[in-house]
Amino acid sequence: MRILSARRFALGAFVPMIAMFGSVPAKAASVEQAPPPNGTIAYVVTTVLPAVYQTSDAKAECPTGLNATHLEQYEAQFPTEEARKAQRRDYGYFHNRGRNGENVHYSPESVVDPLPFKEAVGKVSLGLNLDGKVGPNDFVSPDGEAGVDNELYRVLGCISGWRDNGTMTFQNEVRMRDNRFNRIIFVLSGVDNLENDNEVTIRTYRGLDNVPLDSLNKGVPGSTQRIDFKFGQRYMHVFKGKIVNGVLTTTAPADYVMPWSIIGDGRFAGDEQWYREARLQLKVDSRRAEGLLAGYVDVAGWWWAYTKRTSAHIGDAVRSSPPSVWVALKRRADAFPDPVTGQNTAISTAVALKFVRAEISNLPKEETQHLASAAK
Amino acid sequence: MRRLTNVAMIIGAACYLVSCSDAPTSHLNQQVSPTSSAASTARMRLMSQDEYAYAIGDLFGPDVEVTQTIPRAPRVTGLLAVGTGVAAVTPSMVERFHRDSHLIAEQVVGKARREFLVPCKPAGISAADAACADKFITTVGRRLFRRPLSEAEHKSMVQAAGEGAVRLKDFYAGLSFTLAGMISSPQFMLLTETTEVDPHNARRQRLTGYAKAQRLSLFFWDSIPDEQLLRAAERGDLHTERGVAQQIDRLVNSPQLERGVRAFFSDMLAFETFADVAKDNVIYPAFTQATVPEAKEQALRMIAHHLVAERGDYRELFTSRKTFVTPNLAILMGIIAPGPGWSEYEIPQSSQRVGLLSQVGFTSLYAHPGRSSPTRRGKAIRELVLCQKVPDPPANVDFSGFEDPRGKMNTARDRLTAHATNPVCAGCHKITDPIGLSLENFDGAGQFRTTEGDAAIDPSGTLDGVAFNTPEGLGKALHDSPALTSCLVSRLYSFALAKAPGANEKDYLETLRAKFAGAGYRVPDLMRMISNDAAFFALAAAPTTVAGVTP
Repeated sequence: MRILSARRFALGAFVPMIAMFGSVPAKAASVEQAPPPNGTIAYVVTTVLPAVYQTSDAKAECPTGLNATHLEQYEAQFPTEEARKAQRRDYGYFHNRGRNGENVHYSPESVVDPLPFKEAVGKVSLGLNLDGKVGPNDFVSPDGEAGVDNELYRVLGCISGWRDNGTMTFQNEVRMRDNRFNRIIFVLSGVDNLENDNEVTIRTYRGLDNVPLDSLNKGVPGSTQRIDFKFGQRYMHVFKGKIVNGVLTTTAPADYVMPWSIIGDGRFAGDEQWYREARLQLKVDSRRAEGLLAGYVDVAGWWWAYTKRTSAHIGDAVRSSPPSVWVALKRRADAFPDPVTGQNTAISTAVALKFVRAEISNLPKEETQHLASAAK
Repeated sequence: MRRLTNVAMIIGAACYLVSCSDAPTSHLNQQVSPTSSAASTARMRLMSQDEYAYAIGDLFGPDVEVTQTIPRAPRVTGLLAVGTGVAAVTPSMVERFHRDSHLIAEQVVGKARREFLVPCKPAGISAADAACADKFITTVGRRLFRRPLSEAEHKSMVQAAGEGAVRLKDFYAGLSFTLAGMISSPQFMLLTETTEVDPHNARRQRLTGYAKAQRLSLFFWDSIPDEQLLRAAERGDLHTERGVAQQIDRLVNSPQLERGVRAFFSDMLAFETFADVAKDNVIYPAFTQATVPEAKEQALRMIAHHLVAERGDYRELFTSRKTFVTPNLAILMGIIAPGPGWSEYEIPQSSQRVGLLSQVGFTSLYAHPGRSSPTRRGKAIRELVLCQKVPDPPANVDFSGFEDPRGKMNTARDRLTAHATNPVCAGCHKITDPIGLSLENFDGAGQFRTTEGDAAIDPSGTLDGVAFNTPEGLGKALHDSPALTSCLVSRLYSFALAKAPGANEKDYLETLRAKFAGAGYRVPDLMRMISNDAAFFALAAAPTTVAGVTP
């Protein structure tokens, strides 16, 4: 009954991939698993999608239906035409429906939405076990892995804009690929074997070049990328990991800043997601990589990027009301409490990534240091 | 405006059909005695797409957008340049010429460009200004028509500009209307060569100075003459050896020479067929529609750089390791792109991608959508590069053996070997396949490979008795083949005169080939030799005609 959705999401390929974890015996390396030359292989991102688990009729995860839209909340707040006229007369746009005409994207606590917010329920979600525990509120992955932490899914799962064919899903998919600001590059080094290797290093960068697409709009492996050393410093991070049966996992979490310019041109909408204790789980071969990035994303940073993009020209395209989302975000935030207030500042989440292999024309020294030592 | 437009279109179409007679000293197609065994006839042909675009760009600036698409001419005796002489202009083409000419004219006199493209300002913007219109039409008309305007042409255009300005209450709209008429007129679109009585021999005709200027500029620049060339024609310099040599010297040393060289090789190597290239996305996902123009451009850049910028030996084009790449091409070549746009690239010694024929352009153009084709590649090399005609296949070719899945034919060589057991097929395949098989290391998208499926590729081959076992070996064999240079001489001569060489021109071509060899096989020098010879402007003999009687 469930569909592998979230915009074809990587789920189509990703669920079988998850099924492989721990269950597929080691096999002889295929051509696609051949060790990369010099132990280094780079990938450039082609798709980034929110990990929103969905069933075809949404009844399992949203039994009372999808959330009211921003306009529906507005109409509930101003139930008569007279009241709406007065609001528009005094404050113009429907976004300015705070008690004193505040824009609720920037002042989400200025009003309480009259209609209830519906969180995603159920036990199944995409994501990874971030805390190493299996708690009562944790999800189970579609393939039965327990302890999945993804509280952001509870917030977004019943908002149509974040579901299959929704505005945010579309923006995530298209903008992350087309907007050069988001050119995420992962470079794996120290790879002796793409099928099994107990120690590899993953360095993240931002690239400067477009990714060629084939006639089916899929990324073409093998394109050249230049690393952005000038303005991309903040996107440089290092993970340690291992490869088991062709699946790369990080062996230790690390902080990660992901460029996330999901609407508009990156020149003026260069936003980010700030992950703490991020982890990776990627199926890798010599042409492609795909899987999950999971971690605790900073609530304030996420909200800032999200609301900045949705506050102005796109009206109610996301189909969600900012005050409700903000309250739910704070309620569901589950990590890194503020030392003063005790309010959690980060929320567990995951995104699905797809990459194609890239050739890096300006590989930094740290990526090639091991080459020199190997040559000796 | 509509009425004016329609009238102009009707007049334009009529001119195409009967040939307008305003051109001064027009004695088209009058026959003369030969001055040499190598000569041509005065001709009239439709501009090519590139000639049109370059002409507009040269006159009004390269930023003027040209939307015109002129249909391909038929390929005759190996060249489109020869085929243009028999191309027809249909009424729908005239309509399109007219529409697109308006788009150009509106840009030229539009607010963004009129300050520097219109050499005067009208007394009032909403009224006619004959003096200003006259100045513009005189200057632009001379370049567009490659000769001074006749008095009648001049008068009618100034009048039309004034009439348009009055009706439309806009000086520039009137000027735009007139300019569009000029651009879509046969006088511009048809490259007409006019003749005149030779003052040294009243029984003979010769090309006018303006016709000579046009022939020179089209050959060297793929465009219309510039002002200096027109002035040389006006002074009569192009009827003197010294004057011609001076102009050739200027043309051959100008940056625009690259355009002429590109035009010739595009024609010779049938690059117009890039427009038809499409690859199977599943088999060749890295070869997208964005790759096609870049593959063509890669070949042309390689040619232009080697032959024009470096003044290189033509034969070394087939062994050169210097090419140009884009990020898209780099994927197919399996290399790291040196930069985000076009970059010069030195192919490493370890690579077999040597010479023009192993680049992405040639190998992908002469292949199937989902498979390489040693036969197509071999045929292209034989016919286009060596000028050796490969007979057409018989109508009843049997491909069942070629495609038989039980045949355990893992490689193209296996399949073609089986195919060639049919004696009907063997004759032609013996001509093409030993050459084409040596390029089997490049798949249908031009990507290097050492295996086809799981079977190792054997790239050995032969060319006229010379054996080789790598793509590089093919390049060296071509380099040393006498047919390579004699073909180029023949084709370039044919391109210059827009005619196939006659049987009586064999000795002339052989002399030319020897001179070419003496000049180190440098193509610009060969162009200079061809254009500097009396044959370049000479009009060929034909049966004597009597007025009104067709022989």
